Amino acid sequence: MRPYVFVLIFFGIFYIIEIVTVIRVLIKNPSPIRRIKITLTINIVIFFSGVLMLAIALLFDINYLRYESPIPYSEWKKISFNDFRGFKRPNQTLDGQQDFAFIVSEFNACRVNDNIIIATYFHPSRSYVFNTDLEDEKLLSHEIYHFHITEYSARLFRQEIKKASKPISDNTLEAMEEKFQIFQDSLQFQYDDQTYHSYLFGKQKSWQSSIDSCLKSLKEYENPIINNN
Amino acid sequence: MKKSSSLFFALILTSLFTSSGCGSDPNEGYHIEKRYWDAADYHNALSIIQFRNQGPVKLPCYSIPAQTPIFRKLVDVNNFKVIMEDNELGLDFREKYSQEMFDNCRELSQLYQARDNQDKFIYSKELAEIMNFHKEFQISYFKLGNEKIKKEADDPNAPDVIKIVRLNEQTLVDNYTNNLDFIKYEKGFSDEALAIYVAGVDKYFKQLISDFPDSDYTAMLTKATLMQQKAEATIVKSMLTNLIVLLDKNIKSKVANQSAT
Repeated sequence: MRPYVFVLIFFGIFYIIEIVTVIRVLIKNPSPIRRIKITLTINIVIFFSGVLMLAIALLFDINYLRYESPIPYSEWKKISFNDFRGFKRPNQTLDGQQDFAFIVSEFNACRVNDNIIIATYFHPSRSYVFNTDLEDEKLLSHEIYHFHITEYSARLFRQEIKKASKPISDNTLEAMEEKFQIFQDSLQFQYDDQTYHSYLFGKQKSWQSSIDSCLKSLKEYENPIINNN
Repeated sequence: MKKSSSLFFALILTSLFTSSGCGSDPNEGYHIEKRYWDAADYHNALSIIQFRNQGPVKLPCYSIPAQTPIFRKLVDVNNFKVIMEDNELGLDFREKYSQEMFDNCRELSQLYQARDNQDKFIYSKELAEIMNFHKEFQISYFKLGNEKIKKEADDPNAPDVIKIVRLNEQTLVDNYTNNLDFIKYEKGFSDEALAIYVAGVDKYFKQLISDFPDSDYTAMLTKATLMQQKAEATIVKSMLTNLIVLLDKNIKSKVANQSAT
C-alpha cells in the first residue's frame, strides 16, 4: 500500500475521532462558549493538517527545498545527474525497476513587444534520478535526448511561425502551441516505447542519430526569439 | 464510553492496516511489469518458482490464469533477442549474457518435464513451448559463441579455429538431434502440445539446416528415420517425413560438392 494512503488513513481516523467527539459533546448540549471552542479547534486542526498535506504533496511535484531555476536548452551540455533535484515518489518504479530517471522539459511561447519567444527549458527541481551520485552515461544520455526532443518540437514551432505569411494572433499562437505540445508528447512516448527507456541499445542509438539529424536540419531555428512583424 | 470508543477506533485502525495486506498478488516478486526480462530476472523467477512450488503446488502454467503472464514472460524469445541480436552492444557483453541465459534455459527445461503416474507430462503444452524457446535460444547462443571465438582468434581462418567453430556447430546439431527423443514420449503430450512441438521442429530444424549447412546431419537423419518408425501420431510422422527430405537434400548436396571437387 502506498505511503500516501497511510497518511490519508491517519488523517481520516483523526478527523473521525474529532467529529465523533464533537457529536458526543453537542448531544450533551454544552454551553455556547465551549461549543465555539470545540468548533474552532476542529477548524484549526483541519486547516493545518490540510496545509501540511498540501506542502508534502507539492514537494513530490517540485522540490522547493532545493530549488534550481529552469535551465535553457543552450546549456544542455552542462546538465548532469546532480541537476536532477526532484523527489522520486515513494515506491515509484518504472515497470518494477528501481533504477531509473525522470526528466521534465518543456517549451513555452510568449510575446515580448514585437517578438515571440519559444524557449525550451529543463526543470531540475521537477526531474529526478534514483541515485544522484550515479555515473551512468547511457541513462543520462537517454534523458538528455528527451530534452533534445522538446527542443526539436520547439524548432518546428518556430519554423511554422517564421514561415507564416502574416503576424500570428494570440489565439493562433495558443492553438499552435497546443498542436506542438501534442506532437512532442507523442514523440516522447514513441521514444521511450521504442527504446524501452534505453534498454534497447540499438534502438537508442538509432533514435539519437535521428534526433541529431532533425535538430541539425532545423539549426536556423535554434534562436528562441522570432520577430513577429 | 471512553473505553468503548478507544476500543472502537483501535478496531478501525487494526482492520484498515490488516486489510492492506490481504489478497497477495500471485505475480508478486516476478517483475512481470518489465517488458523484457534479463538474465537476473530469469534467475529471480526460477528461484521463486522453485521456492514456492514445493510438492503439489503447480508451476506457472496456462491452467492457472493468474500465473499465465509469468509463463508467457518465461518463454518470450524477445527477452534474449533484444540483447543477443543487438549489434550495438559489445560482443563480450552479449556473450556473457548468453552464458547466464544458457543456465537459466537449462533449468527451465528441467523444471517442466515432470510426469504423472501415467507418464504423461503434467505441463505438456508448457514443455513444448519451452522446447521451442530453447531451440531458438540455442541458435543465437552458438552463433554468438562462434563469433566471439573468431573475434578473439589471431587468424579467424586458421584451421584450428575453424575446427573449434565447426565442433560448436556440431554440438548444436547434436542438441537438436537429442530433442527428437521426445517423440518416444509423444503419448505423454496432449494433442495441442504435440502440435506446438511439431510446429517448432518444422520451423527451427529448417532454420538450423539453413544457418549451418556444413554441419554433419547424418546422425540426425538416422534419428529422424528411426523416430518415424516409432511415431504413431499422423502430424509427427508427417513432420518427420519433411525433416528427412530436408536432411537428405543437405547430405546429398554435400556429397555432390565433394564429388565435384
